[in-house]
Amino acid sequence: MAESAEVLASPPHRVFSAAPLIRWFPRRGKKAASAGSLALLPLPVQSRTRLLILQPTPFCNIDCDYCYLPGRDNTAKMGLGTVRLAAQRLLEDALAGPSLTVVWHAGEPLMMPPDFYRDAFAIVEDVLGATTQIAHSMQTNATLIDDDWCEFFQRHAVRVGVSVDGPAALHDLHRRTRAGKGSHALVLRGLERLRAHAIPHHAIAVVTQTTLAHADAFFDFFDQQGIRDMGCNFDEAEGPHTSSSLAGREEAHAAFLQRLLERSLACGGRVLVRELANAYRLVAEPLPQYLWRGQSWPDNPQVMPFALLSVAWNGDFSTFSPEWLGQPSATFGDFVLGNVALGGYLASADAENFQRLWGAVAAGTEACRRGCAWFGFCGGGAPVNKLYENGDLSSTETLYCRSMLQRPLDTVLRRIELDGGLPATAAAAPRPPETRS
Amino acid sequence: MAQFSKSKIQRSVERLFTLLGLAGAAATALPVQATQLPERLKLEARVAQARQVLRDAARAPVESGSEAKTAAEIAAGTLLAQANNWNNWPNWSNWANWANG
Repeated sequence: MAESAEVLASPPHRVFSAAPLIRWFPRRGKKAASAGSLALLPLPVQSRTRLLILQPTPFCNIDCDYCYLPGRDNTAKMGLGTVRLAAQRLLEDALAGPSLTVVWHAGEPLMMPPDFYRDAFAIVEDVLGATTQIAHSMQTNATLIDDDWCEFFQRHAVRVGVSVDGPAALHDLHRRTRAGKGSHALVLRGLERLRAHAIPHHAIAVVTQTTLAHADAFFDFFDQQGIRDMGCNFDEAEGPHTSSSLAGREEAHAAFLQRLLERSLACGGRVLVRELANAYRLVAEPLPQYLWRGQSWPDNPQVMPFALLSVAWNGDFSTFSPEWLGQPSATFGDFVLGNVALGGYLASADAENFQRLWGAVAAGTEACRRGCAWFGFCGGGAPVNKLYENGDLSSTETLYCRSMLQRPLDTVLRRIELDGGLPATAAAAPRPPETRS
Repeated sequence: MAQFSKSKIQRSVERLFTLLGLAGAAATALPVQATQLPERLKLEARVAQARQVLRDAARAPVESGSEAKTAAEIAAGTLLAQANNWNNWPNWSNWANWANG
């Protein structure tokens, strides 16, 4: 039982009477965390790492104007020794559960050659393979995908995600090469190669202000490309990208989501939109809960220490929101909590920087619990968005909350209410800040 | 007598601290009730209602032999599709859903 989530009891909750209460049990190996860190950490349970995000290089071969990465000109590369240490620290801290996804992301992962990944995958398998089922994911702009890459993806069962913003007119507005040309044609070539090799893949699109007015063309593109699963990352203000084009356009965002839902239902689910799928899941089944400080909290890996671990090319690591590794911050030491060459993940929790960051993240989660109607469906939002939008990690609602969770859930609820003959309700519908009383 | 009194006082003080300690520990361990905001209650009720609609739709799929379906039948069919779909959707947790790019 210690190897899997254990259903302990139903939490005392009004609606979620059947919600599973989950506790993760870290496996304490011979080299388990030293200094009793696991027991002493003021953490919400000793959760296991779900995603290990490895940044093999900060460099990206294209130059999207909304990118959050400040160092995408930097051509530094992760060494295989760092890969081994990143995996080894996970093993030593007993943070690797029965399964783990390694995501290679930020900058463009295909800037590293297939040989690097062949060796890196072997190292991760060598360190963790005896106890953990490893899956590798790559999020790529697809411009470099060729037959060699496809053979590599196939051989190693890599889960491929392609970043593409829809048809050329939308995509090329923002996703440009370093010479300033649109990258869409290159992406189409990559997608064609993936199809030719029958490699399953999903797509992620950044949705900007312009996209909102073209829901049908946007949806048609993914349908025509044979992409069944697509996700919308609604334009966010983060890092050097200081403002979202969606701010103040929340009604258009609602109409966009509604149209995507209509189209997805009309085609029998041939194209599924991640945000709407997540909303259906939230209607169908409550979020799992975890225990902390004698309370049950809705699952949200972005506020659970070490649930998501990011390791930069040089071994620097961070947790909570993946995208803040590499961002400058005087208050939080550039969000770097340690370096795998110098110490373990859990040991970093003893340091002042971790305590400061964790204190602020926990305060933000508590503020959401106390004041946000949507808390039971999200568990505390995204810390990085609180910081960049509100200037304060201990704040609550953001545009990200409304665009990624609240409004998709409201859209799905409205549709179910309509089809189910229920009276339409405006209760707890997401509203932009300016319309609130 | 003085020794007896001192010992008694000592024990009383010890008991008091023990009780205070126990009360403190109990208070820490007790789950704090989640704040029940009116908007939260409305939203939770709304979701619970929608959940029931989907469950009902999944239990009683619409059957219609006629070509021309009524609006209610179409709605029920759509609901069924929605009800059947949610478990078939992939696990999105390994998607990079956190930022532009």
